Amino acid sequence: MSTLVDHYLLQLKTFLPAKQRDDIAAELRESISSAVEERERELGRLLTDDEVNGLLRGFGHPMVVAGRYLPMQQLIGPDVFPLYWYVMQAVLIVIAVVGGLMVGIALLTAPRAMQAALQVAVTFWWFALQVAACVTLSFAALDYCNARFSFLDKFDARDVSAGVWSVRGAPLSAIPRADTVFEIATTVILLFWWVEWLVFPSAWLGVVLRLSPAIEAFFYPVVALCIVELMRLGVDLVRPYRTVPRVALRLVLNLAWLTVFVLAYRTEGLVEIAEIVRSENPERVLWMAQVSMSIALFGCASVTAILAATDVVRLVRR
Amino acid sequence: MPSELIDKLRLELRRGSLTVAVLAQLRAEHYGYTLRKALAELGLEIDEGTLYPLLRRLESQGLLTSEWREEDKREKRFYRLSPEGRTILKQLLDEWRALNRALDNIV
Repeated sequence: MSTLVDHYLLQLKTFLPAKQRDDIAAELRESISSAVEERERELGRLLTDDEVNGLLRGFGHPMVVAGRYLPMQQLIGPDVFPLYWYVMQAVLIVIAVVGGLMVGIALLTAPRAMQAALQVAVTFWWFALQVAACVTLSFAALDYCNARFSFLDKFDARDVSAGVWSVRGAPLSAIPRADTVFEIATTVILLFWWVEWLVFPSAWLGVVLRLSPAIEAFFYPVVALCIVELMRLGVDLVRPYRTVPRVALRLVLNLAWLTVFVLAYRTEGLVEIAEIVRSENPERVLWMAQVSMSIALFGCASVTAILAATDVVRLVRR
Repeated sequence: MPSELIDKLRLELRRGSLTVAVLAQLRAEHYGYTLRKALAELGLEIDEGTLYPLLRRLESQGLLTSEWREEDKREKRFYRLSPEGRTILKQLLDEWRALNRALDNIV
């Protein structure tokens, strides 16, 4: 009997904080002994190992029992969790879609299709893990701040019509949360790629491509724009309605992005060859990459111009 | 699913009641084992894995006091309601009765 109980308590003690370990184990030992003795009195004999095991099962798994002695801890509490889960799912879906497209392109165009696709998939898998960690840490920080400063409890319904960022006047309209999360995901992908934390594999094209020094002039402006953009989107996430100052800020940011895209489009040689792996015609691959980059920049500039125009219309129609 | 749901709802219903029951029962001194038996005899089953951590938590909140003492040739930890616990219990019981009255009116 004693061996089973000893083993049970030994396991339990490993999960307990050192200061309380012996005290809690002594109390539980006493309780188990009382239960065993009472049962033995009822049966008029010593308990078998199976019967002692049955008693211990009634106490619960050592890890579970020990866990109940520890203070309630959670990384992200129930107040913030629904938004966290929504953002996590949405961001991962966007990354999965972008990653899936890249895998598809690799499968269709790369000489060693499977190898290239696997390389792209692994890159996106690691990227998704990093983003998931960032999202989790951000929401853990939000939850910690909420627990410390109770800012969600200090909610004031009047904020919707006269709150932060709104100066005066009613909100213009609601912002769909899916739009905000999509923008966050794409901005994070852009930022990570820009600072080279996310590297799109290009070796399967036969050459390794990289951004040329011509891009240096844009480096800090783009980083700054991404950070301001993420802060703005963070506000949109918590307060999903448009107000005049926030639309005005978005207009300013869109115009700044538009300027960057146009200047980048007009700059020649944004992409260069870092290494030739096995391509017979590296110049052609480079030309294709530069054309793709120009098309992408043109597309981004067009979309940004439309968004800026939308902002102007919103402000004028107010 | 319905049985899981009822288990979950029952657990939520019991959670607050257990604290009140334990505090009320500890108006007289008990050690863990006899406390559990006393509650069971009065119709409230509580497993050890829940009871002992609850006792510790209530003690750390200052609602219980405890001391190790020998009884029947074994060291046992005896718990008793603290003066602060007595005040809190009174307030909890008032709340409990008000809740019961409200629920009786509703159902």
